[in-house]
Amino acid sequence: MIKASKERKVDNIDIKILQLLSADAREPLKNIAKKCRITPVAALKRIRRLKKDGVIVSTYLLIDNEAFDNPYEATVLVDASNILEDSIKTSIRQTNNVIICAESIGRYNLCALIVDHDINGLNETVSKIRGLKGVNNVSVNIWKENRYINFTRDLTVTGRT
Amino acid sequence: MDGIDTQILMELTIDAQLSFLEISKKLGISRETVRKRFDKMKKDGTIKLMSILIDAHKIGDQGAAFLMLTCARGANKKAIFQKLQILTGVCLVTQLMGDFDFFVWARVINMQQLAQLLNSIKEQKEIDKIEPMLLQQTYFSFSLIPKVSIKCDNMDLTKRT
Repeated sequence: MIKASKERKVDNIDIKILQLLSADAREPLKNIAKKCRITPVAALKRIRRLKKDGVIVSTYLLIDNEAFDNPYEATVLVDASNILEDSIKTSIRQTNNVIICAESIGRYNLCALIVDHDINGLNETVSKIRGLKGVNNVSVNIWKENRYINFTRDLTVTGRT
Repeated sequence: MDGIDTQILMELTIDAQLSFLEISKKLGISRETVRKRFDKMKKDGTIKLMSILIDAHKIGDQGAAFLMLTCARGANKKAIFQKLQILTGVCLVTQLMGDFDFFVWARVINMQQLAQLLNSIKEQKEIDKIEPMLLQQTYFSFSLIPKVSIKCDNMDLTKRT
């Protein structure tokens, strides 16, 4: 089968662009071009291609929590029965305040991140998850204040052929 | 913060790269107003970061790993927290209250890199146990309406649909 459009390999200039856009999605094209030593037109073309190829999935905005006030986050690990795993996953995803629910390989087969305004709300969400049919064990771990987050620090081209 | 600010934020959560002109047209206000309010929200820290979501599979990653760490009794958690941050591939570290002591979110470029990461964590004498969970997903797309947003310094984890 012939693919209509071939995905191009991501190169070092693309990675540089990804890093710049990660730091500021509104970084002016002019600056990107300058820092990558390419022309603005070439930069624009690359960004468009990265989007088309699905390397850049979307943009996101991080808003100060003071404005929305939701201080409790937790990593919830679920040991679910294999047969009901799919339906449990769907139910967890539909639960309010669950922001991530992903299948995993390990002692627990589902990982979820939940967030809420107060401890009662968190408790409610956890109770709901515990109450689902086929859930054997739930491990709740509330995040403490100190955290380190950087999703693009080690971004490099990893030899994919 | 008022209604107009919120509306501007909503537009930006859909696409952080939207031009002020487009936002002004959508909301029926002048471009200058949008610019001023945007600048103000950026300056006072309401808008913490505008970034892009990258599909790490496309740059060669195999997946992601959630590592749950248990420390030895009386371990210096502050020092461990500092050490975990600098390990290659680590995107997020947070201290926990619950069954585990630390939550680490790491990139999985390949098995070798993961093994290396686990080894360098094990080298920290004060860490008793690692519970690794492998995820196939490398990114999570969230609906970005700030009903709930997680308090992170570098990433908005808002309610997924």
